Amino acid sequence: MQVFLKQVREFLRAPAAVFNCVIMPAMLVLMLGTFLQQLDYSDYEIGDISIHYSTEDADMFNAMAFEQFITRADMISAEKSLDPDLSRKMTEKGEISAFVTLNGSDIEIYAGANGVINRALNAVFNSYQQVSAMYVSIAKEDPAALSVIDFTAGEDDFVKHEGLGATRSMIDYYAVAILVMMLFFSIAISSGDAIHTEQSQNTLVRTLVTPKRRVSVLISMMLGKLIEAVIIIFSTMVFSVLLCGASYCDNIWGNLLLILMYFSVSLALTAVGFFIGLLIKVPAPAVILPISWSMLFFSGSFSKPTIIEGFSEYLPPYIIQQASFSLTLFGDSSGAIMVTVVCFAVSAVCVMLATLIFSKKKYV
Amino acid sequence: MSFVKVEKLIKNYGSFCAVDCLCFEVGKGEIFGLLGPNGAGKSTTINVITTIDEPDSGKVSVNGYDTVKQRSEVRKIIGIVPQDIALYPYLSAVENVKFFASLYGLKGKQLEESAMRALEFTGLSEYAKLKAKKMSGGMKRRLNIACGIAHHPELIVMDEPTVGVDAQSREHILNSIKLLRDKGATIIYTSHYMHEVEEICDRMAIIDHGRMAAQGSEQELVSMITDSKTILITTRFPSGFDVDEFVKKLKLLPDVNSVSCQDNTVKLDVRLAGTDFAYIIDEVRKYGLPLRAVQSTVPDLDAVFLALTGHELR
Repeated sequence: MQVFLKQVREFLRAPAAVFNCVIMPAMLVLMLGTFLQQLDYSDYEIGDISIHYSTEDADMFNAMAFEQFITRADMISAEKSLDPDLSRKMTEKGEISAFVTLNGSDIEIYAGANGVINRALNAVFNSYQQVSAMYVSIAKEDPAALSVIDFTAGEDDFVKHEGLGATRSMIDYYAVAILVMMLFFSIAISSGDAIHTEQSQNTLVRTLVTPKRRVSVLISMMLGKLIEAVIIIFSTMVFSVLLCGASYCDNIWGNLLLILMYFSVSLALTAVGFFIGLLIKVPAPAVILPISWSMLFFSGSFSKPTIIEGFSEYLPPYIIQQASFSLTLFGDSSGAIMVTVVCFAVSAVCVMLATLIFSKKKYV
Repeated sequence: MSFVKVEKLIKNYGSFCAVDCLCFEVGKGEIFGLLGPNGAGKSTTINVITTIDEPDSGKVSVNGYDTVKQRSEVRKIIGIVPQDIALYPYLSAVENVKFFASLYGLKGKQLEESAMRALEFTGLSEYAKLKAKKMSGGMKRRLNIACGIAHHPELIVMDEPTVGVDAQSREHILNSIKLLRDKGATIIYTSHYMHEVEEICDRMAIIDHGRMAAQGSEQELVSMITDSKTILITTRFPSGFDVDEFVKKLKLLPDVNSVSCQDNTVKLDVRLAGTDFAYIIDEVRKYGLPLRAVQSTVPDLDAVFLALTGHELR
């Protein structure tokens, strides 16, 4: 208990604590949150997209289907082009967003200067082509099947928002990634360095020559580090909610399970950190930092394109992130439960190994 | 009965023999000095006594408890003041003291009072709430001591506690150590400052290359290398004074081995066993000679160390 209290007190007094618990989570949340909110706003700021289109080089059925699609699209104001060259010039001048031509079943977009609009149009017409290709394929294989498709179905039937609870924004995804990042960087490293720090300030030997058992000293130190993790999780969650309006689970049980999962992850990282710290002779950050960074990098925590299929799926940060997403966004708790159970098991093994090493190790 | 007993202690680190068959005993309520140069084996010996390390062979006991087999019993009664300052920089002075004292089972009011007494004892009560990080070197040294004594240990092991401190702090520390002894604590004190050991230790051991060179009180150690001391008397011989006759008379006095005279200074080589030399002064006065200065020089521990080991301490 004394070691635990000392550990917590020491952590709260150190300037690094303010950085780890307040500045870093607030900065990460604020920076990413503000950036992501801007991305969200950009969707609304696109407004109506005015385009000219031409179906001169398409057959009748394709042209009809295309016109029907383009004129029903909500955000797009489409006008049939009377003069393709004029439409191109208008696109260049920015008077319209793009000029789209249908050649056979191919769609060509003469894009304007607005990158966001161009990406939106690409997405819209890519989708259209995929759906068209599907219908053509059905028509070729089994034309009778087309007769059972309900073409009168509205847009609302395709996108169902019911059951997802809170209105989601990008910060909801990144809040989870930030939490995982904070735990892997902060807790794993500081746990790994705990024994080394005690050694470097000569307090370890002084503590070990007291009547306290080594096992109880080590476990108290681990619990002290765990409190650091809890404070970091709490502050990151609070900052993300208060500063950026992030939403985690939309029900209390989901949030409790999420917190339990992060707690188990923190416990596992603390135990693993101590174990590595006791195992190696060099300062733990030299080993844990590159490992943590690599795992987070290939788990897509910083950027999604870094995910390597067939490899990233096995990395702990990736698994934890996916379990968090499943729980917060879709209410699927199976991943979170699995992560929690595995983390508790890993913690138990690492605590045992760490105490074994610590009780035998000489600090002369 | 001795409180600390070191019997044929041997400790090797690989092929290097740090301590080679060391034997000594420390009585209860005694300040025992371990004197030797860096690498002599003082810290290794202390590590074994304080259960930090185990001997390769030999036996060490504290208050009858074996430091290997009854380690936890030994740990309950010792307090350690390490050579390197061992404090938590972000905790205040009183928090540091309370933390280490609490590891020995002190709690509540007793813990609070003991911590404050230890700070008072080391002259730090005014700085109880000051973080260790913000303290001066001397204050840290004193706090280092306070952390080692707050739980009232029966044996206090101090490993060079005055290294790098100013004269004022050193004086305070040495006085504190003597006070601890007066309160009944047994103290093992290592240093390579001869005058400190001379000043506070009741008995001492000189260690060199892991071996015991000599042990005993300061007088016993000095007597190992010489049985005499020198007395220098500065006077002024009147003109026509018979110096030879005067010297002959002095030579006849008890415990005087030899007498020589140069200018106005008389040099007497007297036996160390004799403690009172007032009769020599009386003899000088009988001749009506003025006493300008009297100086008695005994070989110090530096000389003892040099004579016993063949080299100087530092």
